[in-house]
Amino acid sequence: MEQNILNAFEEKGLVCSFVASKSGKTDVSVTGEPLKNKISQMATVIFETIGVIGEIKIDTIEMIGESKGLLMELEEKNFVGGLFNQAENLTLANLWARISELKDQLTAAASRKRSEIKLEANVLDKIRAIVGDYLGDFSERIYQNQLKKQNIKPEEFHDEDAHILIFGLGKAAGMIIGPTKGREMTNKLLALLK
Amino acid sequence: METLDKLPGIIGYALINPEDGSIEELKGSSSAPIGDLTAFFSSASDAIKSNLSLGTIKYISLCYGAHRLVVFPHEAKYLGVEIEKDNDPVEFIKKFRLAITGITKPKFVIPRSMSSKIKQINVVVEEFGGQENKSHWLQLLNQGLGILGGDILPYVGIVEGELAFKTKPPEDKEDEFIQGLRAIIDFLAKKAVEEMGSSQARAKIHAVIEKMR
Repeated sequence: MEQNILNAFEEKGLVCSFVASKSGKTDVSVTGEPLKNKISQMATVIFETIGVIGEIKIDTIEMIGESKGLLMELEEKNFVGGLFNQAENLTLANLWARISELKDQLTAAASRKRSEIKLEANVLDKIRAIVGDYLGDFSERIYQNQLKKQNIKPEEFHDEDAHILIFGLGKAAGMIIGPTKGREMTNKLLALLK
Repeated sequence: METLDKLPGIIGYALINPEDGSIEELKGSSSAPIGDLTAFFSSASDAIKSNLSLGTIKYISLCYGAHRLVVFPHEAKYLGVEIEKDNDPVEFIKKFRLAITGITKPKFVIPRSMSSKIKQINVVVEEFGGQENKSHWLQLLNQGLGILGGDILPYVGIVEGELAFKTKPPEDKEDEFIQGLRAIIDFLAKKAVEEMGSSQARAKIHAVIEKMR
């Protein structure tokens, strides 16, 4: 299924597209087939690099060389991307649009949307209240900054977002009220998700 | 790297020695681990470029949340610069290369309400840190900017040891930016109480008020 979708995107201009998972499974469109092992090794390097850094959720990676370039859109356990040859008339924005489209189709095909664990509608209010207890006057500004920084939309608030938001708030809180209190606040916030 | 301190739009930057991956310089108010990101991704790109025949790396761009880290080779080192996500990495690198050929101080007028808050912050840092401890207070100021600054980050930065506007902020954001700067002053005052005790902190704050008159 994934192979067919990747191949279909070759006709749309995404010549060597791929989807690589953390488990090591890699699918490559037909033109990229000879590079499958190398793409798989590249994926391992990317996952290991992200694993070492740990504390940040990377959405996209663009690695541009003199001869070729790589574009990748990341999720927690896999990424979708394309390898392309440099050319005069190349527009990265077009390639990014294709990769996004490809990712959507792969996601739909696998019926595997981003974490959909339903959170209580008022969980954000509860988070806000706890942050208010710990950070007082600073709380609203820090809360809003974190939502913006982490690109979280309250109207589309998923379990995965909640974890990212909580750890971001915890880190910021640590700088104001110290690491011990910051950790205590983080634990209280995490308890909301149980 | 003084050029980067003065260039608008930069939230933070890291300079990496590619020989051993060590972070030679790390500056700004970014709350992301930009030193590690630059070090690890520049090293990963060395492995990937050979494997996939990418050729010499022109740049790596990582997007996370509302920010973008552009990593590119600069004078036999790797430079990682955090900017806002909406900025184009190629345009940014062009702007940087142009700037290092000779930066001219941009001329613009900052509304008095904002310039007086910036001045107040500089006086606070000066008063709290003195000469011997100023770098610690500049570090705290960067922390405060990172967690409380919000949209003001691309417009301000520490230039030659002082907080300054690097470009003219949009007029419609004046109120929001003033609130952000106020929150940063409160943050520094809170840190002063923690580090010096309330009576000494109060005396220092009083001295700041006197200097601002």
